[in-house]
Amino acid sequence: MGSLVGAYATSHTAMIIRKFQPDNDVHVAVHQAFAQVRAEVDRLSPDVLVVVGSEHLNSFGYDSFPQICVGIGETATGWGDGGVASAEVPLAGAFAAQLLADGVAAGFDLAFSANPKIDHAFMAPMTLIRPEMDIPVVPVFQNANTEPLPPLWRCAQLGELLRDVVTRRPAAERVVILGTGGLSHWVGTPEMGRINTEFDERFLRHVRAGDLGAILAMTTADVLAEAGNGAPEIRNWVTAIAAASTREGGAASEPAWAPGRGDERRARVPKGAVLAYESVPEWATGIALARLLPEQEP
Amino acid sequence: MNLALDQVIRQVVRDPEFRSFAEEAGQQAAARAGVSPAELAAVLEGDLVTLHRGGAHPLLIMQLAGALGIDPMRRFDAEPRAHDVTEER
Repeated sequence: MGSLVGAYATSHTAMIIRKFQPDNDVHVAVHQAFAQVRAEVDRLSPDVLVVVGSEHLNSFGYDSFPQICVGIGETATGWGDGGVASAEVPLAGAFAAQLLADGVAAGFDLAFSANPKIDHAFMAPMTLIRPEMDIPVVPVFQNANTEPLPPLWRCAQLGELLRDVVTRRPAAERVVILGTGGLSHWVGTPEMGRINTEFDERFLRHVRAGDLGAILAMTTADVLAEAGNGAPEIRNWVTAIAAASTREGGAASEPAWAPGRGDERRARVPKGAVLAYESVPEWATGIALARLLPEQEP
Repeated sequence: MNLALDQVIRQVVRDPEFRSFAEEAGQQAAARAGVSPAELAAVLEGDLVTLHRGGAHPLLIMQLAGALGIDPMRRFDAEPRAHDVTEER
């Protein structure tokens, strides 16, 4: 079976790149944290990088709008939006095809997009983590910005699906999962620029404690009110955290996470290592990076 | 969600021909798009505040700002916060 060798979660605003000021210590600290993730991913030497992100109405409009969509085919191409350079990235077609097939068989009504275009939600962290763009990716689009949003327990179930697909992959295949987005930020509203450090730090306490149940207890309404219309992107962190978890007890076919069940006895959730958190007013976002797997630095 | 308004914003951003048509024949373009002339004018002028109040999708507001070369924070009369509200308590 394949191996999930790493799982990470990072913010993805394009301003990390477009508005980077090399003489700003806070900006430098964020870039150093991304450089650490870059070095770790390089050491982990994955064959596949699964990136779970929430795009910004670039790839999908109202004519056809998926809740969860798997990029399939041979390549993914960056939109070049937000000041993040476009690139053509190889797509791990075999993994993507299996994810799509296994997901539908497991009851996920997954959409797919062939040879997709991907925006800064994917390209910004990828540019910082793997600028060579040589590791085949599987982009997984998860809706975080156009209501109704998938509930957080469903995002956790997506993580479980990803973990299970990895176990069914060829033995030599090494996989890293990256969830992107958040933390607190307001987009396209008069509150742009506001950052709620209290929310961000509370969220990261749950990440450090491996308390996914506490995160799943957050309602979309609460997250929106406290942390802004960009904060629901934390659902991609939820997916990465759940993917890094291991099942404990319960039937193998029964998901550990379901409505009203934040029962961690069914899963061992890793204690995440927060590599950086900065409130960056120039980027209008609470920026965070975390390693979820392995629990020690690789 | 304001479907018609969102659709016309997206069209102005992505379709140069429609944008030119809208600038030249606003009444006709608005009727075709299912929005009021005032709404279409707000889109063409980059009146982000009016669009926000009209329920336009914030991401489409951002795309429009990008297309028109507008700094959205400046247009919303917002400033980068050095600290958040909670620190003032």
